[in-house]
Amino acid sequence: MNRALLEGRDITVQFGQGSNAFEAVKSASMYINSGEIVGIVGESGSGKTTLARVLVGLQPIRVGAVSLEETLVLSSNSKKEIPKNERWKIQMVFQDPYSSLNPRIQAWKTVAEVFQVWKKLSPKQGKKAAFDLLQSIGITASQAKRYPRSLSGGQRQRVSIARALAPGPKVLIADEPTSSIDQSAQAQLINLLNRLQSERDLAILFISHDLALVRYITSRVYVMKQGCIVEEGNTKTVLHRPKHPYTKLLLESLPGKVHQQSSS
Amino acid sequence: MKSKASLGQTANILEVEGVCISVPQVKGPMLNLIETADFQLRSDQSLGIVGESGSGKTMLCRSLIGTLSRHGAVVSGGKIVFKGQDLTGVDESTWRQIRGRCIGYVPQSSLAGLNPVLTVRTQLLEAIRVVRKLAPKEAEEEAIQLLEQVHIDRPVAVLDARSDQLSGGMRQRVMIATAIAQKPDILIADEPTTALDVTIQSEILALINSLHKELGMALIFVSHDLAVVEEVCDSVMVMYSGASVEIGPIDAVVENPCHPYTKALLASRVDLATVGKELEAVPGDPASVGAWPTGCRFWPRCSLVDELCKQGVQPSLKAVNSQQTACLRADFLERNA
Repeated sequence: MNRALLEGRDITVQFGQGSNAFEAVKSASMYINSGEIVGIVGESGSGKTTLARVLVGLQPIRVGAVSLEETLVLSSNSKKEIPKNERWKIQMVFQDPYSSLNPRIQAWKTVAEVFQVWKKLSPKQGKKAAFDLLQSIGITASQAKRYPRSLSGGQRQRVSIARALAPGPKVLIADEPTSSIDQSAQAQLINLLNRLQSERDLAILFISHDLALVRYITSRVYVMKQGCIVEEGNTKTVLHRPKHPYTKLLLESLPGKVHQQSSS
Repeated sequence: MKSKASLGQTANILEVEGVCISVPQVKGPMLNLIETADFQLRSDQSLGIVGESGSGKTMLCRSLIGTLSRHGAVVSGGKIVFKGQDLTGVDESTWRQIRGRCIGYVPQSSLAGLNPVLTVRTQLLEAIRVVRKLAPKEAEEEAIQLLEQVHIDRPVAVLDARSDQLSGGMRQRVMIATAIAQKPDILIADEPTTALDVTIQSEILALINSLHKELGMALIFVSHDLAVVEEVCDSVMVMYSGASVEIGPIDAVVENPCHPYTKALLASRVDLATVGKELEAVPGDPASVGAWPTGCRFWPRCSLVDELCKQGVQPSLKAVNSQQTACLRADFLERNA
């Protein structure tokens, strides 16, 4: 087996205190190898996003540990945070691009800022790098000069992907990146993620409640329910022969043809 | 297509003809949001409306319940004929006779549609008593029946709940109960499952389907997801940039699309895609309102485009096979199907 690029062990996240305490993630363990696309599926409230936030260091944990390239970067015992000089390796794309982009900053500036902070580029170099990066993922120079409000949903999401790619990460965490965009833009975005994975050897953690997308894009999958990982494995195997009743329910609920294909 | 043999035997309950919806601008002429929407709805039909955001699906629905003026828009052309009565330009008091009583509506943001400070009882009873002056007790019995009809297990408990105490699926059921309180002839559901999980989505779809059949309501179901429409509807209208581009029985449209946009939409479906093969995404982005090209709206993204497509106005619908399509090159598409 490959050495895991990013690994979370026995992660438990608790919200609230005392009698209000609620465990959003319960002792979940998962890993992702370099260049691999891994899915997390589950309904809203199952802890998918919380687990992802733990892996980028946005969410304090109660129990557990995270290691990056086999080095412990986060642990509930030592109370430490992910070291600043490691954080660029894991980047996240959020569910709603409109609320995650600054409405008063032009698209290219959002990306250029990241180049200046992480790559220590001058403002001029940062600007050029931002336009080049945006161009490479299908945002033209004239679109890059617009504000988020005058971009379409698919374009906004591409800008936030560019922002995440700017530091040259090893892992990209995509939290329901296609849930707020149209079907034809969704296809463009999925092709883009696939291309990034093969061109840059980027590992992608793809969070979704849409099994049709997960079937298409991921090679391994984790199924979450009420904070627990209830099933994991090769995507093809999990979708063909689901073991956990919840996975079966998810498959049966899908509109369209996925389950028919899987069962045939 | 013979499986839906009952089609075409009942009269049209709703006819939408060349409807144009516009908003006035501070400067310059009216800005058109929809230029040519055309469809007919029979009283036993379930019609899906599919299109990208900005294609005019929601505005079209609003024109059918007379709430366009609340959003600053007007019907600036065409006809909306409901049971023989033209609804374009009728006054608010006429709309009040129609909205809810004849045409029920489940709005898009229906999860936020319930008033958070009022109980379900207050809101549901209002929907019932606004038309029929029932005694509170009778109205409450009816409310409980309605909640049972939308498959809520503990109707009495839910009556006393406020929206924050209900899950997304439950709120959607309550909204549907409110919409069918007056037993309308047509139920319009505007993206009723967008914010819901797949498991809840399939329950709501099944509910809408059974209500459509049991109560004999015609159904207009708006979605951006063809897979969902396929589940619920017997026919479909595809919209692109404010125009109806294809209408027909759902099986026919899915199996043999007669408009390049429909074809591209079907090809980009991820649930039908082969793993490892690149998805066939429609190139480019949809034109935004006010920046529509001349000629066919779809030509800048179309693979079949020729010079004729770029001239004049958006082509009107014409019959091809069992469908109607607004493509000038439909013959070519058909030959190469």
